[in-house]
Amino acid sequence: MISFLLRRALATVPVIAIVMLAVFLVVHLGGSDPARIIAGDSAGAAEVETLREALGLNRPLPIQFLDWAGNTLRGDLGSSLFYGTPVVDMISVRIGPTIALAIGTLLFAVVLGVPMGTFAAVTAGRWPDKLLMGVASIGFSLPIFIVAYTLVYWLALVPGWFPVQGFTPPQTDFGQFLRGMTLPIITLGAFYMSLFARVSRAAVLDMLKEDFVRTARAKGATPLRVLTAHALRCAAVPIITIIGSSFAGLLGGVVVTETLFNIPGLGRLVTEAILKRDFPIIQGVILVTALIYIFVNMVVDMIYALLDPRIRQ
Amino acid sequence: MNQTKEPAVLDIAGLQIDLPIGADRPHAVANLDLRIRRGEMVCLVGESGSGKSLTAMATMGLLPRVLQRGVRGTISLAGRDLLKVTPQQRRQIVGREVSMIFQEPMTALHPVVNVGAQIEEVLKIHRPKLGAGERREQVLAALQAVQLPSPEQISRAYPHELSGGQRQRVMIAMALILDPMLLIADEPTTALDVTTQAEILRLIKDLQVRRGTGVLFITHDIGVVRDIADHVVVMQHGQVVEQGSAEAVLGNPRQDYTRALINAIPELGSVRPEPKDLGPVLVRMTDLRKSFTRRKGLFRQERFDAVGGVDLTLRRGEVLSVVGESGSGKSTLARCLAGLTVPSGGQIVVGSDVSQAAGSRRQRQRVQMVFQDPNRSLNPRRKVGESIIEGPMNFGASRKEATARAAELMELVGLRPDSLDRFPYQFSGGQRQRICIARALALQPEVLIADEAVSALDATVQQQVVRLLDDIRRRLDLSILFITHDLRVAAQISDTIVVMQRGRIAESGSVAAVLGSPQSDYTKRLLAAVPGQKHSFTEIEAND
Repeated sequence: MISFLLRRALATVPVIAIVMLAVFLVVHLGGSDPARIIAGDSAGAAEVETLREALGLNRPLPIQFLDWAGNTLRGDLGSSLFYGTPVVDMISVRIGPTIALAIGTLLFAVVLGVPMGTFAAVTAGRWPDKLLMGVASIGFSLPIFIVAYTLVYWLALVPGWFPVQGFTPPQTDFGQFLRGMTLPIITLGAFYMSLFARVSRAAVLDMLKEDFVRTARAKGATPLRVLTAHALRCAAVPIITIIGSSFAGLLGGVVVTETLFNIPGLGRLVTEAILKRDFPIIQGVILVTALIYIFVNMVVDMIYALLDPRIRQ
Repeated sequence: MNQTKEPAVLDIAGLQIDLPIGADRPHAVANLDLRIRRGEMVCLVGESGSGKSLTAMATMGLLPRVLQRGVRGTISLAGRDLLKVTPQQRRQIVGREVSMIFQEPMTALHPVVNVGAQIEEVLKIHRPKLGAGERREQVLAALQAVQLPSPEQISRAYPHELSGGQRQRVMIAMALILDPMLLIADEPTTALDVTTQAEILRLIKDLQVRRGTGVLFITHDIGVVRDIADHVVVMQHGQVVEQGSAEAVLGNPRQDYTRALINAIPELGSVRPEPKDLGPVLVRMTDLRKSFTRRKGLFRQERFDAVGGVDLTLRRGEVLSVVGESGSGKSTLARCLAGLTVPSGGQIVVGSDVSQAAGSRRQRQRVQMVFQDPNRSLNPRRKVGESIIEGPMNFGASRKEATARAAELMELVGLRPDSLDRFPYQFSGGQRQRICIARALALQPEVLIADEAVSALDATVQQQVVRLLDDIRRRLDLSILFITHDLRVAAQISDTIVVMQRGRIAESGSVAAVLGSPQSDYTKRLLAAVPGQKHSFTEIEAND
């Protein structure tokens, strides 16, 4: 077990190296010239050239990469071309709301979606199943902005229960923070809840057909015990797989939700940076997002190993 | 003896299980009467679909919901009608007073919980007042009772870490931990090797006699019945066609169906009559090796030889059986020859063409394979005709040619050519295996590998498919490499038998030589383990 965890943790090292290379190349082979952008439209060719030299952009790419990678490993992601502030500082200010939104969404989706799917599997073919899967289909197919604006109108604008938009840091006013996050979480979470409900239904339904579930019944186990200790225990692996990989989509989906609800998170930061070609920020955000993703995947794999001894080998 | 005074453990009377409308017959089980007394072993025999498993499921309350509604009659366990109890009452009975073991212990056990905890669950359900320490003790005692070595260690193991025989012992420990009055065993040894089967049969028989448990033993293997049964009930199409004491039914069957079941199990003595003239050598394996690596610890890897240096020749027209227990390397050997896996060392030459490596395109066409489970080796979403013509079309035949050839092949394997347009689910298991054979023959191979190709079939169907293979061999002058764990089948079809043990050849020779006067202890053990055949060896020796 320990050996599996160590091996899994070590396996992230080459992945991180490849991600760093990819992030670096995407920005540097992207075709836009950072020196040109920083110098501004009015600058002449000579000025741009001086700037290029000052920034070290005229050196060979491998040297630039090693330089950048070295700094990155020391925790220095450079400074924003426009604001001059260190990228690390900008990201650390913006990462809080994004993480809060992502984790809140996942919690919402898992806490509702998995029981929904499980209950649907138990009642497969009868009306609770049809009702729940109908709800899931709707959650699955509604565009995010329709969900957002419907919720805003009926829960925020008309009754005034929730703020229409904006973000309050939890340390300022925790109640207000929760109220502010509710609508964004439901907006983003409706899709994931439906996804998890459908995956859980399929996984549990498959497990209920398995021989070992029949064995549990033959032991005299109660239906609840058969469902939880036997079927769900084994269905957990496919369900956790989909939860883990949803995280990638979630980090992407955050951009739209942050914009709709005016939340100052990573998504907003990177959209602004892309429009301004502020490449240190873009690099920094992509890298941080990728690292989060690698970390989440590692944790998912480790949970697998806890749940299923066959994976440990 | 005095039947009226001794109360029956199980008394099934007038059991009827309706099938849903549209099924091939109205009742899965009709008018079934069956009694099991204390300490009695009753064998329920019949082909698949005869209703024997459903009878067991009805007793356990494990029938699918659709069938549950159409159950009539009485199933009394020590005087209590199991069809009339509430679900709560039933849950208190199953696992405690009646318990069940199943055919496939791998899937019947929870894959991600250690086996100790799985046995302990029975105690948690039925003996909620027991403390953790007492439960632990009882679990270890149960593992001890089924003769598992080092119960401590086994209790912490997961099913995938145990052998098939060990898993079935765990299932038996789980079923018997509360000393039920009735044990239902549904084909509990069908998925096991002969030697393991013999051990498990002995264990069940032993526990049944010692504890006075009544046993309902479901099987399709008359050999097994011969070894263990006190009383035999023969079922066909949901009805009991014959029942009586084991000696009476087996020794003097009154029904044709019973006779057919008995005759379908080949005697080891029924070696093919005339040794035939064999053609030139077609396949020559020299020092064939295949090893796999397993991970051990963080960086260490362990190598193990699935096939460790095998020399073998197969002549044109020869049927060569490779027999051995699971893990002996017989399937790996077959897969190397078919080019499905790359050998780690040694050489395989097919024909005289040394330059053709095993697994090359040309060789794949010359060597074709039929697999164990016809339900899974045909693509369920393709018409069987499509599956048959795919190979020839890959080798350049036109659709028209390939389809014409497929129609001929269907006739050759005893199916109607117009069934090419049907899907696999529309055929029975035996028919599907015939289709798999037609698919293999479509490429006009010189060597046909049958990897446990009849093991998943009923004895009567098994016999038909074996006859078909032999007939095809004769007509097409094929060589057949027949992989099996069943010596009785091997005896029936082979010219030569190769006995494999742990990746090496333990013994090889003509059928009469290997089965009649086995030299290696391993072969002797395999032969001794064959169920129900102990008297027939002398005949082979006499003929030799």
